Parts: sequence; structure tokens; C-alpha cells
Amino acid sequence: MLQRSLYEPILTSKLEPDGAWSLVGRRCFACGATDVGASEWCARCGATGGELFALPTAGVLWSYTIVRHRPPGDCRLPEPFEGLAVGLVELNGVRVLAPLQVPFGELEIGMPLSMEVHPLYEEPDGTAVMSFQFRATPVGAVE
Amino acid sequence: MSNDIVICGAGMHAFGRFAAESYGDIGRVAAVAALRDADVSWCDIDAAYVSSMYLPATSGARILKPLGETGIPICNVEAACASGAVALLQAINGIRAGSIRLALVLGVEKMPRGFMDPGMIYEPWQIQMGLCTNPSYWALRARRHMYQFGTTEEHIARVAYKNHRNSVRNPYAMYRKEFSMEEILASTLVCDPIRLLEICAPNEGAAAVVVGAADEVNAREGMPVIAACVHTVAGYAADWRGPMAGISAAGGHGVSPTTATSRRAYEQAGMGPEEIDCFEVQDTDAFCELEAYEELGLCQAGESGKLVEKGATEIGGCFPVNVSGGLVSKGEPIGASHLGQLVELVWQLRGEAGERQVRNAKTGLAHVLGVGGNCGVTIIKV
Repeated sequence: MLQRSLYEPILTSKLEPDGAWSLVGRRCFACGATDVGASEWCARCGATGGELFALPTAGVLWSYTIVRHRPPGDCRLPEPFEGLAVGLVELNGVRVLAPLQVPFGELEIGMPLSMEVHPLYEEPDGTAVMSFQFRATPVGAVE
Repeated sequence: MSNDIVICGAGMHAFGRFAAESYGDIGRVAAVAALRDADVSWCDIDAAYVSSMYLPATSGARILKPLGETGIPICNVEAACASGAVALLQAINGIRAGSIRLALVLGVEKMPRGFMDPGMIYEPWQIQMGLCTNPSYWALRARRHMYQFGTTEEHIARVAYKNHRNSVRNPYAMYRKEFSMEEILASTLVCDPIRLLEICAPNEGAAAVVVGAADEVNAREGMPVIAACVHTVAGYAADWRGPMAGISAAGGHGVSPTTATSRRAYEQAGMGPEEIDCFEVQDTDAFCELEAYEELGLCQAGESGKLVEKGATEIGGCFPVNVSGGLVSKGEPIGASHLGQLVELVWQLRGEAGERQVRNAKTGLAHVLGVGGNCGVTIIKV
């Protein structure tokens, strides 16, 4: 099945040699700052020129909330809506805002998490639009 | 000769829901009230700056031209929750530049019910993923604060309790209803740990001030002077960039927009937080006010829960905050919220705030913070 990224500047399959999905990090050549997402300009110093790299898929939960009502607008989450856990996940020096696939009662700041991709919805031609979320890393899992 | 800019008049249309009134009607009520209060006529105004976020193009001119087509510049200003501060700043700059003598600054809003239209501030992919519920951005910060400093849900609820109770004495607030701590803590969770009675509602309303150079406008005794007015947008890694995709955590936090903006405002005004008699601060939700205590310098980082617990921010405390009821109980008509804060402070500084008067108030600080890390801080004094 054909797949595409929901938003290529944040989620891509072009940075890992084996074509695996990853979140996009950017390191500025001028000042060394790292940030999330492909951008022409550095968020810290404004310089152009930087390298994109695959952010690690393993991270740690920095904070979370549970959105209790269906988000407004063109939300593609499945019905019925039963709440959405959202977290800031720390990945080696940057924090990424992401949905969490964690039972609400198990959410805990500092818990180890792993990034995974999933089809958020399908386009009319059958292309799967891929999004990302984080899940609790099983105890004893080896990276 | 002084370079002071004075607030010659202030006026408001209540914040709430007004099905029978257009945004033009609402805006003109506040504008006319401010003109009357300043004892000037619309024909005396050299320029008008109108802040809103939800109104259509040229709404400022559409609101004000019915008062008389005097041919002055009327422009619309938008900077999310800081819109009103930016409109005021335009007037200040125009007066300082000598091109205008007297300006009207008006904030007006008429927003639909419920969550704000996410398309105005989020990218389509964020909306599709469901990352576009506004209170979630504060909720994440609240949860982290609880983890890091031991702040409790009761501390957060205490802010809502205080503000709702204060609003009973404010005829310009939307709810004007006191809630018990139990009722607040039992209200529906919107984004954990933030609950329905701790959150502000987008609504409708307007507020206006007439400002001018002190030596040009026959400044009267007791007219508040603008001691500082600063607007900034959050910088890199400032930790408050909602809506966000990510922030850099490397090297710790950047300086938060409230800290950065208030530092500059205190410097401009030549005074610190301990010299401010009353504060009107952004309380999009109750936690947001706690965070403002710390970032405006009312207490050390992590101490805001204790500050509200011991009553320091009550009307009789050492730092009265949101004696108007704040946005939690007034509602937040975004373009009008900062000017609403200022009108309240003008009344406080003139000793006209009635039942909610802060005793002997001589200085006041208004603070707003919103989308994109847009922050505005204005300090006035008599």
C-alpha cells in the first residue's frame, strides 16, 4: 500500500538508510542549535545551512495531558472519541509534542517511550497518510 | 515639559454574550464611554487603533466611522492575546513621533461559542492529529509544574475560586458567580489537570482608552500615566511557543515571554513588582495565572502555589491579582482583553472601582500572553 507522511517536514522516511520512518531533527551549521522539523532557517540564530538528521525513536515523557473532548476542526481521530493523551517527549535534547498511545492510568512523567507510525487516514486513491505517536517502551526492551 | 503619555479617558462594554448587538454596537459603546470620560469629542481624535482577532477586514473603520467621517487614520491591529497592547503601542509611538496629539485605542471582539476555530492558528496536520485543543498547551505546563514543584490541583482551583469570587463585584464580568472549591474541583476535566470552571471562555466585549501627550492635552490631576508598554513574541527555546511541534530542551529553558516582556517593562517604568499595587494578568486558565506570578516576579519559581494559598493575591493581599475577576470569570474577548485590563486599572488608580477597590492603588500592571508566545505588559501609575 502506498504511504505518505502527514507532514514531511516533521515526519519522514528519507533520513534513515533503510527507509524507516523518523521524526526530523535539524542541526544548525552556524550555531549548533538543534530543533524539530526541517526548516531553511535556524530558529535560534536565523542562519541558513543546517543538516537534517533522524531523531531517536526512544524518548522520555516530559509532561502530558489528556484532552477530554474531541478536538475542534478537521480532526481525523477515530469515533467514538474517548480522550487523547498528548505529551511532550524529550528526545535527546529536543522535545516533541505528540499523541501518546498509553493507558491514561499509566501516564507518568519520566516514563520511557518509543515512537511508532500509523495510518491516520486514507486518501481517496488508497494512499495511507502516516502519522506518529509514542507508546510505552516495554520493560527490558533493547534499543 | 514632560514626555509622559496620559490616559485621559477609559470606557468599557461589558464582557459576555450579546446576541442583539453587532460588533459595531459593542465597540461604539466602549469608544463613546472613553471619549465621554476623557471629556473630548470624536472630532478631537487624531488617530484610532483598533485591536481584534476575530473581526473582518477594516472592522475598526466600520465601527468608528458612524461616529463621524472625520478622515483620520483608523487601523486594525492583531497580535493574538497581545493585540490590545500592540494597538496601545502604536498610539504611544504616534504620539511620541509628534504626528498625533490624541488617540483612541479600542479593543473589540465578538467570538463564536466554544473552542476557537483551530484553522486560525494551527497547521492542517496539527488539526488532523488532534493537537489543536488550546488548553492542552497550558495543561502540559501545569502537569510539569506539579511534578517539579509539588503544586497541587487545589492550588490551581484556588486561583479560579478567587477570580470567580472577585467577579461578583464587577458588573462588567460575564459570570459574576461564586463557586466553592468543591464545585471547581468537581467540574468537568477539559485537559487534565485543567477543569471547566478554571478556564476562560471566548466571548464578546469591548474596552477603550483615550491617550495623549501630557503637556498637549491639559492633563488633569490623577490621570494615569503610561509608565511602560512592551510587546514581545517568544524567542527560541522559550518553552512557550504554542501551538508547537517541538521545542529545544538543550541547555535548559530559554527566557519565557512573560519574563522577557515584564523585565523590559519594569526597566522602562523604573519600578519592580514589589512597587506595583494591583495586577491584571492573563488567566486563560487558572494555572496560567500561577505561572504569571513567578514570571512577573511576584515569587520565586515553584512558589506560586504557596503564594495563592496564603492569600497574597487576594484583594487585600500584598499582590492583588485580577480583582476584576480575570478572564476566568470575565471571559476573553481576545482583541479587547488587554484594554479591559487597562480600563480596570485606570478605575483602580482613580479610586473609582467601587466594591472591588484596591486600597490606595497608585500603580498597576496589565499582562497578556497567548498564541505564538505573543506577550504584552503595560504599567500605569498616578
